[in-house]
Amino acid sequence: MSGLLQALVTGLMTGGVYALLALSIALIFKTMDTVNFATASMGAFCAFLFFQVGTVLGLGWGPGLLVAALGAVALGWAVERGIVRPLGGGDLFRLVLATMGLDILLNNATQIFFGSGVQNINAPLPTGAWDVGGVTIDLTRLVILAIAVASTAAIALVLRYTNLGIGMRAFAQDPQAAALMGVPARTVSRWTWIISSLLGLVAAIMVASVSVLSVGFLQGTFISAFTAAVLGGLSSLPGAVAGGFILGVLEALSISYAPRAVTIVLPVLIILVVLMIRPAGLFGRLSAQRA
Amino acid sequence: MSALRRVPGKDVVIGLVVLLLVCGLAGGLTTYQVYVVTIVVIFTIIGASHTVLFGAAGQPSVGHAALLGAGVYAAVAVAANTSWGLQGELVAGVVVGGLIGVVIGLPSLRIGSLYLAIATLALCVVAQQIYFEWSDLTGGGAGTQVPPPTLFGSTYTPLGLLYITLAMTGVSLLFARNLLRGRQGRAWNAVRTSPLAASSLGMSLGWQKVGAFGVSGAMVGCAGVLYAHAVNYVSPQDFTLDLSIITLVIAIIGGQRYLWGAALGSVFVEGVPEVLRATGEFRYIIFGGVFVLIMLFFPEGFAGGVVMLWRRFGPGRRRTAPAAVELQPTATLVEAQLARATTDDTPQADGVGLTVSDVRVAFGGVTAVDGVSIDVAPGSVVGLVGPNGAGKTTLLNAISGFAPVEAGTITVDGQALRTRRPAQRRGLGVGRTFQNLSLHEGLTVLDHLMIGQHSTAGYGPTSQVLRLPPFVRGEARMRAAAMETAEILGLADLVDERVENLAYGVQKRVDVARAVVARPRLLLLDEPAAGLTPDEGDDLVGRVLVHSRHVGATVVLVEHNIELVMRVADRVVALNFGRVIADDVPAVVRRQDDFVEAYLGS
Repeated sequence: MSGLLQALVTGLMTGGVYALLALSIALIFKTMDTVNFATASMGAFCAFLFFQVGTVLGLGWGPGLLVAALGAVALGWAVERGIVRPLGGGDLFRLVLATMGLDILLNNATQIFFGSGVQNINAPLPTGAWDVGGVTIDLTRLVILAIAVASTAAIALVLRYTNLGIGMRAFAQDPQAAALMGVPARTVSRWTWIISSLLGLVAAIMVASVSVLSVGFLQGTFISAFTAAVLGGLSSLPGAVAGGFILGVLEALSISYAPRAVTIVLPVLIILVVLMIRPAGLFGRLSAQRA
Repeated sequence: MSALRRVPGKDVVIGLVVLLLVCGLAGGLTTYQVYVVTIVVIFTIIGASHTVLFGAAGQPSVGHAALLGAGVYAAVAVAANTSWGLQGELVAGVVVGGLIGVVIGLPSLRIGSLYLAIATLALCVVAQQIYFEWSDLTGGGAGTQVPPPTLFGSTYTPLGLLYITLAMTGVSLLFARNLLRGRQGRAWNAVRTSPLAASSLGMSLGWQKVGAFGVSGAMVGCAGVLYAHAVNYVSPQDFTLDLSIITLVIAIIGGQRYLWGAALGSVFVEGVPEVLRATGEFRYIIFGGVFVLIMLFFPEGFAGGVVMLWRRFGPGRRRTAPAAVELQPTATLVEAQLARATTDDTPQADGVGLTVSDVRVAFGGVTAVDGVSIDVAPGSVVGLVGPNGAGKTTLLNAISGFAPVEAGTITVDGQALRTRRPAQRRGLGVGRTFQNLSLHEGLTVLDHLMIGQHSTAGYGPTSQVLRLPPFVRGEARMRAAAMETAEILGLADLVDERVENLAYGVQKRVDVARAVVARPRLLLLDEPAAGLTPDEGDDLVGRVLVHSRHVGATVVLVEHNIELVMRVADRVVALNFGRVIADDVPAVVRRQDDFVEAYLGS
């Protein structure tokens, strides 16, 4: 019994990170109709900035976070301006491919600038664990879960109550109608990419603080988050978040109770089954016929 | 010029010359250069597999690293456990790659191409994990050594392997080229450019993609076997998502619509970084920069750019604009009316009857067709008229299988249509045109006329790949039928034009021509004259009716131009609010009160 409970708790905690990165993916998909395959490398690059400024230059985590956040904003802005806007109007796949190319480029740039070593990020998070009725709760991971939930809530508030958020939702439903109603398409597009990039940074720092920092360290999490987004519905933000938690729990359960082979093929199984049965995901709706 | 272009096999000769040239020069290379050239040649096969899957069938895949791994480990397994030699490994690689390709392709029976691309992504990641775990075969993280290739008993050096690789590449490219030129390639292009039209012509969208996946997988499997021997040492670390993306980039940067583009792309992606090796780590940055520039200025890749420049500056550049189409409105319409008067003399009357009884089609709360019954006699022309929203197009969609029928039955030639998909209805002889043009962008008028004969080609993929007599005969017959139809519809001078370069009125003719070229026994025309000038409309309808009289088809004509319908139809059915309000010969319907009211108001 406590084994099951432990798996659930661990799963929810891992799921928090998945949810955050899935939200970053779904945000782009919902408003821009594309998948940003550079999500992981963008986040990783900024996490390296955090490490470089905070630890290597020894300026502490505050300035490190500031520089990393500025980097994420700049990167999001640059990607929107340099890739999405020139290619966006045309073929969907060209944009997807461009983000894949960006992924390769950023990974190589990360390696050139920061080296291919494995680093420990030393994030200022509490360590230790609580024991609640036989279930171990890791403090670092609990804080991470709290940050993930808080970030998700912040995004929800922005989408619901700010002008920008309302514009983003309108744009997601019908870009043309939104533009005709005076929603500034470029502003919406720009901020969507910036917010997505910031979410990627937060997820990257959190993953790095429980594992290590190295080139491509976020790829595995990205695949899981992507699976989560597909599971919940790429076009549904709450769905992506729910998908993140569901996937986290499923993974933890399969690690505890299923053969290793099942754990390995779990993402592809989930993606194939979901796509065959409910292509729009558990919580999504198929909008127009895509491609 | 056009005569020269038609010489069959010129491309094969050029390809052969290039292969022999590489063969001849290979002897003077260092071991390392031989290795680089071998890799470039192998990636040409992989790029070409994307030409089939992505360039023709329109399905991007980021799972090709997994397929390459499948080929590699098929080779490793065969080499370790049997004494079959390289020939056995190649067979195993092709079979395993093809089978995995088919399995990944299967979801396309249910889902669209974007979601399928996502599924290939998942495959790529998981396959790599599986290769890591299956350490008995793959050596796990440590990797495994691949023995030198043994072909029919003799062992080969890297230079020997390069010759074998060149030969296999030649075979693979010829295989892909033969598939792409002919019925199968046209079907893939049709599915990519207009799924709607493709399914009305008898193509199953899902199975076409499954087939493309299988072909692509088999090619990559073959490449995998050669790759295993070329690199000597393989590790699961090689088969990353990045590798998948690189193979796709090869196809795109080379020009995914052209097989020879794959070779250019492979030279650029696999060869140029080696040349730039002196620049160290920054070679990838230079490389990425060139990639972005190519995508911005030559969206169709190197090959597309070369073709574009050749068209503009080459020896065969066009000096005159295409001639305007001739318009003989009165003449053709008179001809059509004459043909109607002498229906008895039609050369072959194999038109089929259509019975629509009590059919209801509803979208949500709106009932678009509400209990309509129509009986269309074989070989007759029935005009279907009515104000906007009367349900004319919906009825046509229900007959051709694009709209769900809630109640009632539709029979063609005595056979109930209910459960048949659009592609299957084509088999019963149902052909249709589209109100909003549904043409295949990038293809010529002749291509459209050949695509229109997909279901009557009379040969399969095997004859096509091997260029057997059924293929040769079928192509000749289809080309003759295409030219005949082009002649009747006034498109004879334009057969080599790409459709997007044509005027709207001419595009409309192409849409109609594609529907009639395979001689459907029941032809559904959805507002053929919409958007045309009255003269153009008369001309087009006249021409198509001359054609259908010629082949003896039954015609249902939806049209807003009442005068036109009254002149050409044997019977006129008027719809309003989804119900039949008149059904009689034109002269009677014209005087009927509620018909006049629906059109002109009381």
